[in-house]
Amino acid sequence: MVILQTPFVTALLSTYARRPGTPLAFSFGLLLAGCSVLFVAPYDAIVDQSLTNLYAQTLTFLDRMERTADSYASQRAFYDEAKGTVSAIKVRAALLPKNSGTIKNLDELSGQYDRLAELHRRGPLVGLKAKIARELIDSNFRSLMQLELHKKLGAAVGSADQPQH
Amino acid sequence: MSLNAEQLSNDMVAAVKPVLQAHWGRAAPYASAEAQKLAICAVQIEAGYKSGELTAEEAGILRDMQASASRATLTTIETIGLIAAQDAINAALKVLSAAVNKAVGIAIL
Repeated sequence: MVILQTPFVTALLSTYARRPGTPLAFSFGLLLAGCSVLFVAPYDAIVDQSLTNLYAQTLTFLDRMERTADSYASQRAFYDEAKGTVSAIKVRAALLPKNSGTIKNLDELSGQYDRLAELHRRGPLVGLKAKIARELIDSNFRSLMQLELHKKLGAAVGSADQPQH
Repeated sequence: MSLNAEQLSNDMVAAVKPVLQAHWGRAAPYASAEAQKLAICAVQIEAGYKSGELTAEEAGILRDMQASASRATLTTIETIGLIAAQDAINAALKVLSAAVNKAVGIAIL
């Protein structure tokens, strides 16, 4: 919680504290009016864009695997790069206070790449297992992107530039 | 100029409502669609395992992936609730601040 208390308000509170009643209530109103709350970190365009890019790379990879049925060994670099990107986004997200929701979801996404790699080690990413894995990873990305949308929405409610996600 | 508590209260509620509606209008379809998709995945994993299309190990990995996706969805819904509360409170405080500044006659807040 951020409290902005001007010297004027401080002096007013001190004066009216000696005379209870309406002036004190007025001062309390002044104090409250100087507050703003922060429960969740603000929107970060770099996190949002990085997630969108990683999502596109992941979908492209899954489409290619479905088409080529390449082995895990030949595609190992994708997993290393994807996990590295998630770690970099997490470092960026951790710079902002009150960002635990995004950080938790990035940890979940990182774990999904481990599980996808495990699935891939057991055979080509094709057919039913590829279809289900893709839907589940999609869900992790949607969770992260929905959060960014709602962070962005707060500033836009009532204005002409509401986000169109 | 003096502050009118009833008018101020009405103005604060009027500021809060569109904020909450905007968040809820986007969060509700998201939560509902995710629940449906995750349920379909659970059915597909079990059907795939029973039909032999998925091995026990593959089904186990996919169940872990489903648990992760479900946890992420719940975290998102919980965090959206916090964002909605934060934006609603700040919208109300903005109205209060404007009313106090107007009543005092100078921008003290």
